[in-house]
Amino acid sequence: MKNRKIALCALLTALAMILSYLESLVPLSFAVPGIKLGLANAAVIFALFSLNGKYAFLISLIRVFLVSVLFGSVMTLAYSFAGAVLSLAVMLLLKKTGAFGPVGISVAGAVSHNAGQILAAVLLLETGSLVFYLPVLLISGCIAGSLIGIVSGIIISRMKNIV
Amino acid sequence: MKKTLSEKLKNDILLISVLLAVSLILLAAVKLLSPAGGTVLVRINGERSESLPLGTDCEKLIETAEGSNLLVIKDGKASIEDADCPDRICVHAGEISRKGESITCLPHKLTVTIEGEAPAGFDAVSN
Repeated sequence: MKNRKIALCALLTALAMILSYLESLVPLSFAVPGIKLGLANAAVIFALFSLNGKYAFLISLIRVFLVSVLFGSVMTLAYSFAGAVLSLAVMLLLKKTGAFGPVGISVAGAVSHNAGQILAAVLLLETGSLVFYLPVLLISGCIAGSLIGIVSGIIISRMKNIV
Repeated sequence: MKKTLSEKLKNDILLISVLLAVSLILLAAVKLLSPAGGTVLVRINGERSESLPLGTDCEKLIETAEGSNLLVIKDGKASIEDADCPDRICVHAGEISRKGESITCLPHKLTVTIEGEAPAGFDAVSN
């Protein structure tokens, strides 16, 4: 049973990495930097519901580390870690309450990911004016998070018998 | 106690509504409360190239190594009206007038930022 979980965990990490890479090929930059779909979060939410929080945490952090090392830079690593850690903490907390489905958790994760990245950018670049991006990013996070949450919900229910 | 699926969905929708409401309030607050800027600062490739007063209407064609952007200042608002970059994100960005707001044209490595309060007094002294 444990081996099975570890294998699934590795599979999901690989999937999350590919999804991050795919997303980086299609930049969604409108007026504000940082707007994105967050495809990789689908793998993390799937792990959160089908495995448990510990695995979701591992998958997300390993994904962030590997993607930053392979496709990004030290700076992207710092931003991504800030976003990913805050997002995971919020998602784990909300999952614990048992009151929310994948859509709510995905939205909360997306929004806190954006907030974490802005916070990291404000601290690193020492420019408070970046906070102006937050409202727009909150709205985009709600939209992207809902879409990813809906997709994740469908995948979770379809995969119930397999995992 | 485990909640049923529809109850969870109701909570999800509630959560999204609250987040959207908060972001709209923040958006309005940022628009209303942030101080109006005074100068329009144009940077090409990170280097200051132009500094124009926001109070004076003008049109200026900014030439960069990669192409050109038409900067228009009108009624205290700055915008890029035309550009020959491929994505034209800068043109779609609309008008800016508040301190800290900016328009970026990545293909041309151009940023237009609104800076500080109207520099009237300061300029009188420094001139």
